[in-house]
Amino acid sequence: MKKYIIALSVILLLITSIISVTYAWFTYVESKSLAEFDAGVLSISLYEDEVHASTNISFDDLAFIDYQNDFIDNQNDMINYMASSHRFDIELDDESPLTNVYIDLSEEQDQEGLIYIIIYEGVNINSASLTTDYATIVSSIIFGYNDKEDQINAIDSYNEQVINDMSELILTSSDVLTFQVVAWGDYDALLDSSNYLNETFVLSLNITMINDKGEIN
Amino acid sequence: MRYKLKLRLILSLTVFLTVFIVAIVATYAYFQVSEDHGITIEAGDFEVEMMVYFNGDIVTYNSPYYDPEKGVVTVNAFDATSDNYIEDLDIYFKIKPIVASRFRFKINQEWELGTYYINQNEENPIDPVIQSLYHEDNVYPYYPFSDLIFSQTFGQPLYDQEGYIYYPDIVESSADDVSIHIIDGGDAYGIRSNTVLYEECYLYFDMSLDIVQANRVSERWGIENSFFES
Repeated sequence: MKKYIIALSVILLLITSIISVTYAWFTYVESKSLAEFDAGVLSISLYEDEVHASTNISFDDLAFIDYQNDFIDNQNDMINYMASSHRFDIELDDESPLTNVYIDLSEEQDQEGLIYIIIYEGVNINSASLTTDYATIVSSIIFGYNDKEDQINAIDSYNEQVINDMSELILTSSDVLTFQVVAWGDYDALLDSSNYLNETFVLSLNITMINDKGEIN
Repeated sequence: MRYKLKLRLILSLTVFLTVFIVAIVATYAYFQVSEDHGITIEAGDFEVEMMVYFNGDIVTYNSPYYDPEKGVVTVNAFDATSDNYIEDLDIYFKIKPIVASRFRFKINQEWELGTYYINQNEENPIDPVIQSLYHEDNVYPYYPFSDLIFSQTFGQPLYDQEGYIYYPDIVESSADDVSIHIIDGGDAYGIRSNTVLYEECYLYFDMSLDIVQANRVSERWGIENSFFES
């Protein structure tokens, strides 16, 4: 019987203590959070020549050049004069987490006659500082290659490298990544050059943004 | 008993791994966005307009100084009070150079001098004399064989044997219109006016313009690129 009384007393004591602690807890008015979690926002804002880009982008300023005289020998500085250059800006949301940007630019059809280079301009650059001397870039890409096929392959490799380099950048909220796409029509590469002014080339631009800790699916 | 425990362990592990992988995929999906754009690239073209002004007023199709049938503009080359006076003449080309280009042009001119006799004998009148005027080849800044004057902003024009005037610079590609001032007035003709006769002088002109992609000059016009370095 004595044991029962002791046990009952302990239980009652425990219950009373719990109630007191609970009351004490409920009467504690100031709360401190251990940590605060904010959800980041990943969104793609693409601008083409400083205008918000639609799904379908059109350039109607392609000029056809003579590959050897204009593009390789750069007679009369024609690489720069005849370039169709377009600026692209990818802007991150102001609540964006740390982000990598993966860009894929490729021709939709296997169509000869278009040469293009991608020029990485920087992050948060000012408008006036875009590259305009394309001839120097082209010259450095094709340096050491004498065969046209090798030169075109060198340009492809260069573009791939630029895209890879851009994908390794870690961007923060509100950052703006800027690059240019500079194109020329290769008159000599066309299968039917008699109708060259009606030629149309289609590129596919895919932009993927991913949290910097993630990997692309 | 041991077999059952093992089975439960494997089952638990499988469920745990499944949930874990799904969670990872879902997390990655949440932190990744993707967007596709199609880029269509087409050859560029040119748009050119020729603008004629008198004292800042543009000559339109319905202007009294434009003959739509002949396609010529009439310029008064003798009367400073007229609205189409030669010194008030300005000619511009407005070009939308989608690709870098060069252009050449001709001003086809006809200078006409009319001589009218006054106080004539009614029985034996003298008919007015209308004659064409020819100018010496005045040097720059005059247009060749003309009293029209090149605009100073045009630069030093280049000439060929066919009478074309070449703009010395490449017109760089631009999404905006480029306005090039060609002619900035001209000299009036010194007419006679006395008790016997008076004269009137008019210039009638039209223009033609060729524009070509800057790297096709030698192919289209048959001239060397070095022509522009002279």
